Amino acid sequence: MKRRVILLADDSEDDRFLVGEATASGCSGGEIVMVETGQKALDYLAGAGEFADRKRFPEPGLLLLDLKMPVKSGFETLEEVRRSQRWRYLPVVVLTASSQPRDIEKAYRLLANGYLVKPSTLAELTDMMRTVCDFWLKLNRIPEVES
Amino acid sequence: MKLRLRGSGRPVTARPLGLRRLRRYSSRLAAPTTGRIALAGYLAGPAVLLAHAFWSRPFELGSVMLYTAAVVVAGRLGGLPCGLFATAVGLGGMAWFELPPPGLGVEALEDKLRLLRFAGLGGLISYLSGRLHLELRGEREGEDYLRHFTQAVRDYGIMSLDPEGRVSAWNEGQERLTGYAAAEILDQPFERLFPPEERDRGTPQRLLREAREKGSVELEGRRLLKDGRQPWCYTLVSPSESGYTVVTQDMTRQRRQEERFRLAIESAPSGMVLVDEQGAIVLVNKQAELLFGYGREELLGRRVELLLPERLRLSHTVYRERYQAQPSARQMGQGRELLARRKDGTEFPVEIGLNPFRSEEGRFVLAAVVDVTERKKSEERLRKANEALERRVADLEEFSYTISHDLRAPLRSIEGFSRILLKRTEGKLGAEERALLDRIARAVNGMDRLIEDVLAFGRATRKPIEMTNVDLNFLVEDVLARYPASAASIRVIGPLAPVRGNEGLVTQILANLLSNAVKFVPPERRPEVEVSTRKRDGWVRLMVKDNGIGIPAAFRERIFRPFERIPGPIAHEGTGMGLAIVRKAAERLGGRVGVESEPGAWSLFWVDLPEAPP
Repeated sequence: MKRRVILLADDSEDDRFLVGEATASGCSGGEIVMVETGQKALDYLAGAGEFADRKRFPEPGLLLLDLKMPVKSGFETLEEVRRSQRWRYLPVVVLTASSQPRDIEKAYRLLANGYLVKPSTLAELTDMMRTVCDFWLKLNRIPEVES
Repeated sequence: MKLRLRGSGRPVTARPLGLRRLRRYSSRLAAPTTGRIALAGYLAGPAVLLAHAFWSRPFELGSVMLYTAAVVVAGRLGGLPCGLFATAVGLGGMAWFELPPPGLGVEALEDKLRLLRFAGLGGLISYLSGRLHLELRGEREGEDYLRHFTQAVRDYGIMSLDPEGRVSAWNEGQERLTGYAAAEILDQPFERLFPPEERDRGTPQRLLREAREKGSVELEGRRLLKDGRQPWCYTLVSPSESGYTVVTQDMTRQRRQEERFRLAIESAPSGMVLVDEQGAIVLVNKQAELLFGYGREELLGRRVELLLPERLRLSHTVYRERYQAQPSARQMGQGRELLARRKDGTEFPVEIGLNPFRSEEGRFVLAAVVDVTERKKSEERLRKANEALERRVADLEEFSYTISHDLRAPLRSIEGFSRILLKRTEGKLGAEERALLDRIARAVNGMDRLIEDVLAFGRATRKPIEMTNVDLNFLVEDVLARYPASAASIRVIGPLAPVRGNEGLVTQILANLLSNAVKFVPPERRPEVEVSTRKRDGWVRLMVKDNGIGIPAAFRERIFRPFERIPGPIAHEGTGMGLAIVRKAAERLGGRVGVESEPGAWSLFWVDLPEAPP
């Protein structure tokens, strides 16, 4: 059976921990791998450098992307993913603390598939990850692309 | 008004009425033919008589002279028809009394010639007398007409001058104008009517010379009256048979009006520029001189485009011509920024009011020019200050958003970690320790809500809103679905009246009022809430009534302020922001809020919102 993998790019260690916790309890049968920067997310997708081992770093079915990250922001990362031949159809859902209308607008303009605001309690976060998992990893279909 | 027209070089004034007609009559007065014809007529009569007598036989002389005299007299008195009649009578008389009866040798050739001769000469006399008769009558009538006419126009002084410039005729108008009676002035040089300085300048002689050379000349200037006054007068001099005819009019009244017009323009607070049909400047005031930096004499006669920046001159010419085709009093260049140019080449923004009018001289446009540099500057200052303010508000908004956002991130961690800790320490920690962890998590939840509410309050204050018709029934249902209040009974007394508002703000109002209504109820009581509306005078009052703890009178105003909470027996999770948000939202929608209450029994919160138009 194909592995159901979420790639999370978030510079906040706390948030990575909490999302990991919420995924563990909310998303049965799903895995989550986490990187700290947008650049690392791109490297991961490309299987470059430390991410060459696809057994340890399997191809994800969803990218959860924080917006405010140092060096390469979520928006820049999103743009590059959409430009890449291999990953242009990868579902990318923004997961951020910002509920600013202009951020939401920009995310959709750059072809994000969804926009989620980090909830303030662990319980809500767990619910959210369950929904994300059920929809994006289990129900959603995307076009096959030659790797 | 007096206008100096470009190119003509001579002063022209609104010409006194009827003057052209007067000039025509004054030339007829000097018609040269009459005297000659009269002379010819008077000489012709006796000459013909003598000629006739010369050809007649001596014994007939007396009777022929008699008949001829009759023809002359008849012609002189009655004109050609009378002369011819007298001739016919004469012929009859001669034939009857002096020639032998027919058949007795009457057919003598000489007798026939005699009769023929008389008939021819009689006809000639009659013709000449008739001409004379007509001329004299015409002359008399013309004189009568002119006399009546010149008397009727007493506002004009009319006089005749002989070739040397001495007064030879003087009408009543002249008498009224100058104060001189005809007897005092006749045969006097007309220079007497000019002030000394004009005389020194040789104006009178120049007038006569120009009248001779050009056919007529007009001039405006001061004239000297008998009493020494020197009013401003218009003078027309035209040459005539016997010298000159001079018409004079006192222009004091016109001059006063002109002066008033000039003063009104001069004292106007804006720059005034009067432009003629050709676009030439004919009058400017002091303000205009100051505004544009030109002296008056530099502007008069120049095209008005001189006052515009070079690049705009051509298009202005087009605009001006279009305007003159359909002139109306209005602001120039509405919606456009108008620029003017000073003499030194600098440009400045102006506002220009246009006023077209028509005078005898033609059509003019009076332009009132206001320098709006200062106003533009203060507008600009205001705009910049406004922009700076808006920027600061935006910065503040950004700042408060960032603060609250950055505050919430650690809160999320604290909450999340304490919850994880709670889960993982199950069975390892005592109940008391676990209760402490739970309190940490709940305190964090409270703080998070507070931040959320402060943000909502800020949004209710500033966010631009769009007003639409709002269906309260739908919104209440929506809110109830989002905040399920399990134990409470919420009754909607519907249908609720539609209001004019903003869905987002009305939702905030409803959500806060409903959550308050179920929250502040003593624990032993089951919350019962009623939602209803009442229409009155274009307003809809939305009412939410509960069976809660009620609000003491002292707090009924304060509870709508931010962070206000009522100290009481029930420890609530409220942030103190809910009702402040309700009031702010209602005010943004143009409405009001209020509360009625029976402490310990019920509270009724109401919001007045504009009724939705049908």
